[in-house]
Amino acid sequence: MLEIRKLVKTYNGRAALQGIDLILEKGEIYGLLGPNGAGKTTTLKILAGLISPDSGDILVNGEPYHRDDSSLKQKIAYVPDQPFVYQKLTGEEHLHFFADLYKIPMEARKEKFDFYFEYFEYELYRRELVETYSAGTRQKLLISQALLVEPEFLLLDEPLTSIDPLVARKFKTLLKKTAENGTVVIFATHILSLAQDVSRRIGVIIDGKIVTEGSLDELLKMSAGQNLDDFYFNTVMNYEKSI
Amino acid sequence: MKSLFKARIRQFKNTVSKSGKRKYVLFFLFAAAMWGLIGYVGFKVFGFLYYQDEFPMVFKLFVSEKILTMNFLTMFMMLILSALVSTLNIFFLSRDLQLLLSSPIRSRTVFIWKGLEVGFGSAVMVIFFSLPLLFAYSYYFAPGIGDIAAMILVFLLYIVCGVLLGIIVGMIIPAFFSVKKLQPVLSLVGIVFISGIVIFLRLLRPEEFGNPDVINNLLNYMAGLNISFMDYLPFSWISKGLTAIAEGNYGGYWKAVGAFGVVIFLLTSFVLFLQEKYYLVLFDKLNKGSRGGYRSSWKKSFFVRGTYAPLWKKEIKTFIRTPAQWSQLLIIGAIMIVFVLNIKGIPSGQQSVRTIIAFLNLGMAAFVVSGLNSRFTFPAIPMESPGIVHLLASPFKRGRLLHFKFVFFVVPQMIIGFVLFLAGDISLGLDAFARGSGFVFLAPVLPFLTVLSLFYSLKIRETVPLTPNSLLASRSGVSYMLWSMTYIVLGMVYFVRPLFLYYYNRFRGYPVPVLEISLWFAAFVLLNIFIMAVLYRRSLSTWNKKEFSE
Repeated sequence: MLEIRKLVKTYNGRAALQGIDLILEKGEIYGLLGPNGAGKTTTLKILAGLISPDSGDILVNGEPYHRDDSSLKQKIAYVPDQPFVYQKLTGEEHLHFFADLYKIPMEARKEKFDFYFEYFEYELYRRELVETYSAGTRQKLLISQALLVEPEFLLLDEPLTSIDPLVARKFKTLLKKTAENGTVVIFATHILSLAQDVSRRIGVIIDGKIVTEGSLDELLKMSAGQNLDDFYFNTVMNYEKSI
Repeated sequence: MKSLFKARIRQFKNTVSKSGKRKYVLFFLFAAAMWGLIGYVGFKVFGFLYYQDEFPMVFKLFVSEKILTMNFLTMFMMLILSALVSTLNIFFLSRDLQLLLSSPIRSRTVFIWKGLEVGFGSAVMVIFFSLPLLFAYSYYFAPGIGDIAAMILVFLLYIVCGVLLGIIVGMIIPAFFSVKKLQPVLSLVGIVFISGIVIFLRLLRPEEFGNPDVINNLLNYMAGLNISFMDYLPFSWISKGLTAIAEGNYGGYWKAVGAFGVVIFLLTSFVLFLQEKYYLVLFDKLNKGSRGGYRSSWKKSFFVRGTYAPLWKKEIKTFIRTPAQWSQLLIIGAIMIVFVLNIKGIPSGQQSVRTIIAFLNLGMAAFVVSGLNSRFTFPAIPMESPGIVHLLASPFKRGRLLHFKFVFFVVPQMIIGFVLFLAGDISLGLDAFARGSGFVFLAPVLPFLTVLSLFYSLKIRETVPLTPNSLLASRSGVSYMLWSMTYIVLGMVYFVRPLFLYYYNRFRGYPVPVLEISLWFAAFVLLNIFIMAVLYRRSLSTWNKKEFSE
């Protein structure tokens, strides 16, 4: 279980997060929606250990989370919002590098690698330098890298950026399967259909606060029969009017 | 072209206003110090020649011309090599090319614009290092305003000539070789250029310039140093042009300018021909990248094991696959070879002279390692971004990355530092004390420089991808360079005392104060270890607190 309590983060006097509270149960997929600069990426970066919160607590299975606690981070995998990769490694070497960091035994790797290169349809690029990859192929590599380590907590920031519809569908299927196996998934996205298709719960974050959350059905009920697109638009517009 | 120029100026202004003035003041101070040093050496050398009353002016100008040729030869090779590497980067791999080539701007305009970028980028260091020498030469031999204007013209033509040659080589190599073979071919070209510098410098025989034993017959001496085929090479034309200015021989000057003019015209025509026929084809080829065939191995190794193994493997693979790293290492290698060969060429004179040269060699070894740190260690962590995001999100402990970077760079740099020092010392045939004190000096100084560069590199805030050059020009980069040089100079000044104590007493026949000398050495080592430990701890603390919010 992942528990976030009153998470606050400020950048140069500007509040990025203003007391986020969130509890994610085992096997849950949580979608974070929100305008640019709302705090989605900051939340995920804090969970990934890239930045520290100014205040608030994060509990991983009841234990306090510290960003340099390697035993807890062993359970977390992260896909950033941009396809950051080591350009001069081949795709396969890139996966080996992360498998080494997560101490995945060498003998267990081949089968997994074969699966991800095949499943996400980029086997052809396996032995190519990553610098020659298209943006979409890089994203596939990063998703493979995160799923490869079989994390307890999977953090995804804009996971479908540049991904083609076929692989996007495959990704959604795999994500649901991963959650069924007990992984907690939290992702940030602007693609509403992703949130709609895979999330058990969806939260809308604006100005560093979760202004509304619930299952898709609950949200749609609140929006009086509108679709998620309309609901999201109205939520953001209403919030802006209220301030 | 006007729009491209305006965009570039705007980018520069924005960078300046964002970075603050202090950085530029530091940079200016550093540049002024370098200029001062080169200018001082130039004024000393040309002043010495100028005031030798027993020799005729023609001889003084002859020796000056040889000295200038040595400088212009080295700079010309550097210019071509630098333009070659810049051509590959700027003409084919620049991030803005996709945008520019898809815009309504003609591809020739883009090409010419990029050519100017290549020219400026490759020439700036050559201009920077040559100007003080030219000032010194002009001060003694060609002080008139007209003389200076003539010197500037011939110098600019020399620069243009070198840049055009570099661009041509940089366009021909990818035309004939696959992208995968570019790296070994570039390495080979680098070695050819290095060999060229060494061979030409040896042919010039610089050690003979100041050797009074062979100057018994000036004409024989001058004839002995004349190498006729060098008259056909551009770095010789500029020296001859400058000599002609000093002699008031305007026919000779315009001959040099004419030679440059013809060659530049031919080279420009050839470059434009290459652009017309091959530029877009090569652009496609290089941007498609290399396909297949990489040894995608990631096996357990006997040598690299344990927690740090993945980082070793990644760094070594990245280093081997990055030609820019190789080419710069080759340039540094060339400087080292030339330096050692020149030390070997110094006539064996008195022990005291050799000891002083060895002492300066010690500082030189430290300066070379400082340069290596600024090029390789300093950008190592900032350049790790943005891939570093994954590393920090993984279970790999943060502090370990810093330990790894330190070990990864300090070991080869210590080897290079000691090899450089030993090569010089063995060539000079020094005594055991000089060698021992060299070890005492370098053993703490070399790792200290690596720690210092890491310390300053962690002060860089940006986590977006940067180039090593832009990092070095940052406030932290300039601070590192200033402090590393100050530190080496202070270290050398400190060492004067124990060396003096030893050699003075030996020369006088007094007993050597072993205890006092040992205390000086011990204090030096302990002080360095202490400061190093403090700096490393502070680096670690900065690193652990560092946030990646960009």
